[in-house]
Amino acid sequence: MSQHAHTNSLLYVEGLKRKFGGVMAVSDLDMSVSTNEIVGLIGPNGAGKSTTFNLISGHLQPTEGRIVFDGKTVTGKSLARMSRLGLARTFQHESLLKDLSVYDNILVGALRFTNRKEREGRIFETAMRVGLSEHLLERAGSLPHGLQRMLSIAIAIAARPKLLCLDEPLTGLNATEVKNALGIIRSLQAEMKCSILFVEHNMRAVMELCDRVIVLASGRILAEGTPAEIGSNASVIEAYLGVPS
Amino acid sequence: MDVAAQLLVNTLQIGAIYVLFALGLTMIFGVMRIVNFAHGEFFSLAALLTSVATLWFSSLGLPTWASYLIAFAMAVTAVLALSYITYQLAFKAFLGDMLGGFIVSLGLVMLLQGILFEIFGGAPRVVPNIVEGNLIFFGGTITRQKLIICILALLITVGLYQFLQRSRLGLALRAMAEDQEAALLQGINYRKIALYGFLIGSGLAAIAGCLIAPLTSIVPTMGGGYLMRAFMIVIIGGLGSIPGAIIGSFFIASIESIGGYFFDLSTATVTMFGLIAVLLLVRPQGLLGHVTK
Amino acid sequence: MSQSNFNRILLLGTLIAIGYSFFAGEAYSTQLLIWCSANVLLATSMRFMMLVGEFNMATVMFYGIGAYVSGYLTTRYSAPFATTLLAAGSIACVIGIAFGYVSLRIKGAYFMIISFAFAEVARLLATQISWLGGNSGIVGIFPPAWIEAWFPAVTIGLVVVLCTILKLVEDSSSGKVFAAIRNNDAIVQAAGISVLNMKVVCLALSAFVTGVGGALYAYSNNVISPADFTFMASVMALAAVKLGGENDFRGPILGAVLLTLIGQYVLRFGALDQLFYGGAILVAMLALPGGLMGVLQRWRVLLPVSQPGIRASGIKRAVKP
Repeated sequence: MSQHAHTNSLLYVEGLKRKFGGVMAVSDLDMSVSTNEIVGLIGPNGAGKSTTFNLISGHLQPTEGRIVFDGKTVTGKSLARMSRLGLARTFQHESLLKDLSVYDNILVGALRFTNRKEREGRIFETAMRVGLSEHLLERAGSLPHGLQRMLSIAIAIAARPKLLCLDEPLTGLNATEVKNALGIIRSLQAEMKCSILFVEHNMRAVMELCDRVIVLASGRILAEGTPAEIGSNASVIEAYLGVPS
Repeated sequence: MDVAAQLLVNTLQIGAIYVLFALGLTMIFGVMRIVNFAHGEFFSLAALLTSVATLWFSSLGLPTWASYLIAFAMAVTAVLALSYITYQLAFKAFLGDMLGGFIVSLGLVMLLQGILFEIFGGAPRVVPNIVEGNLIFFGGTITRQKLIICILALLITVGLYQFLQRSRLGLALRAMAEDQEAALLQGINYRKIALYGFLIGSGLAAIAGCLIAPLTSIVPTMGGGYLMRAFMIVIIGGLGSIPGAIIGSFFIASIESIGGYFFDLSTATVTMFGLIAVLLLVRPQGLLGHVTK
Repeated sequence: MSQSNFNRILLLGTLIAIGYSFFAGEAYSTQLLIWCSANVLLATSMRFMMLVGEFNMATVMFYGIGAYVSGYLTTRYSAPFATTLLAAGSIACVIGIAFGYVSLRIKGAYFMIISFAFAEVARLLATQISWLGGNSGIVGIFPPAWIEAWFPAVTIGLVVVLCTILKLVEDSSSGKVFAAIRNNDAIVQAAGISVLNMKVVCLALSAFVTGVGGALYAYSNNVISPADFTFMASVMALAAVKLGGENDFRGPILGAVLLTLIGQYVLRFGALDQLFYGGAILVAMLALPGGLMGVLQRWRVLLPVSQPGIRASGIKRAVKP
């Protein structure tokens, strides 16, 4: 598709398909993420959001299709490889190293900085950005849920990724925590000049934060555009209200 | 042809007992996530009690078959009681703690072994012949006694399988073995089911011991050898898988009877272990095991 | 008492043990110390693998490999002492790397089973290979004359060195990665670190240390055979870790010493020794949740560690413990 010109795209996905058993979870997916962009991936349950997310991050292998990241073809490359290329992700469940301290959690994310001093600086800086400076010595598993989410983001950004993929980062947060988290995510993007792709169910947050929104339904792209465009798109509204749970 | 038939018959006969023993072990692992080292001791105890009781009742004038049946019942009951006690005292505290349960069962093995030796002594015991005579079965010779016992073992296995497929408890046990989290979410009472699973598993070991008693010489250490083979069986068939245990049992039994016939036992054992190691690399969950962590 | 005082006591105890064995010569008590240190090594090595969350039942296999390498080199080629130790560790390490790459793709109970199967295959093979002595093994493995008089002290000293190496790695950032893998290996992968590579590194190091330990065993015992390296040795190492406390580096040390002492004590019961040994293990498991270290901490004999082990100059200054 012409709107996915891959010359300046950070991430470019073409013809992505993934089959599970007999079910086509994702089919003919074309999408892209540019530099310095926040893209939201939404859709009703079972639309294929998690699958797409896992395919892009290297957690799953596509059945067919092509993924290009930062100019390199990375279809089928592993999670670790993608991370070394500059794509970081968070996890929705089991998102932390529970028994380790906050400091050690971020340390694991920052281990690509082999220079000790640089690494330490990076850890402190990351902790400060997400509001965890006061908690560095605490055990990650003991943190309140909101801070745990922030920590999982911290682990992902510790290595200064080019593309940050967030898997439902706002689940389980109350209104204040959501506002806080959105502020942090926005400032992260601005300061680190990275792009962000995130899967979310919280519609208001998505509309507020994203430059662009992609709507998935039944494994295909239903609509794409700015939050305003998507908000008034009739088929999107139907997909959410009309599809039985 | 005769050799083949004989080997087949031997395999069936050896395998039938292995099935009961291995089924017990795999059930306990499947439900409690504990590898019970002392499974072999329950087996030995049952065999020893069967031998002692059969002889005693026979000496009172009862016909051998009656003595044997009473002894059978007594032995299984005794082992069930013992397993209940060990569960409450030892295993209950380690449900879900694989390493802890493992070490506890290790202590239990040594303790029970010592006790068995003290009570029964190391001298081999036998059970007098219950039924006399040989038969030709599928072209191979087998004693009537072995055949009857083999059929009994297979019947019990079938019965167990039906129980697990049809009954509520059976369903709960299988659910626990397959996906513990989901089972718990469905409201299954973990502790109660774990206890039942343990009792049934140990009961199977006891039954296996009672059935093997008339067929071999009984020593307190016999459980250990069976346990080793049962580990192999359960590994091949898949931890927690019941059909796997059945297939694995006959597979191991066939290697033993064929390998033991054509080569010596130790070469057969090395080859077997080697094959298993390779199988595990390709398919770590065994033939029919579940791919959970 | 505080953590540092406890550690000082442990260190003192170790130095006394070395000093004692230096002077006491061939006494039974020296033998006891050697057995203790051998078990400490196995238990510590076993726990090292547990840092990445795996129970390595093949530990005893590397022990055996080390023993056989040094035994063979000493008896056939009269190789120098230090060389055989190094060879034992290195060959065990190389085999560990090969074994690790192949089997560490598999986790948890299944890795435990595979490692058990491999160890048994290795042992059974050793019984069949004639130039390794088959069932009878290798005899006449003696340390060189210049060291023989002080050999117990050397053994214990080397065990201390080897365990220290493992401790240093545990405290390094690699150790943090191991702990991270144990907690959640998906996150480690997502951070760009190859979990398989790290696990293999862990196994290789553990194999090296265990291999050298095996060589020491060969020299101490003078005779080795496949029967010395059954899976029971791995199981006993696991028991030592569990009884001493799996969450602390000092746990396997305490557990191994405890088990060795109990093992020797129950011999006075003659034929009932196994019975009492098993009973002791049972009682210990039930009475000591969290192992000895856990109990010591619960009874306030030992103050808890105040921070989850952070090592960063910035933090130590900023936050008082």
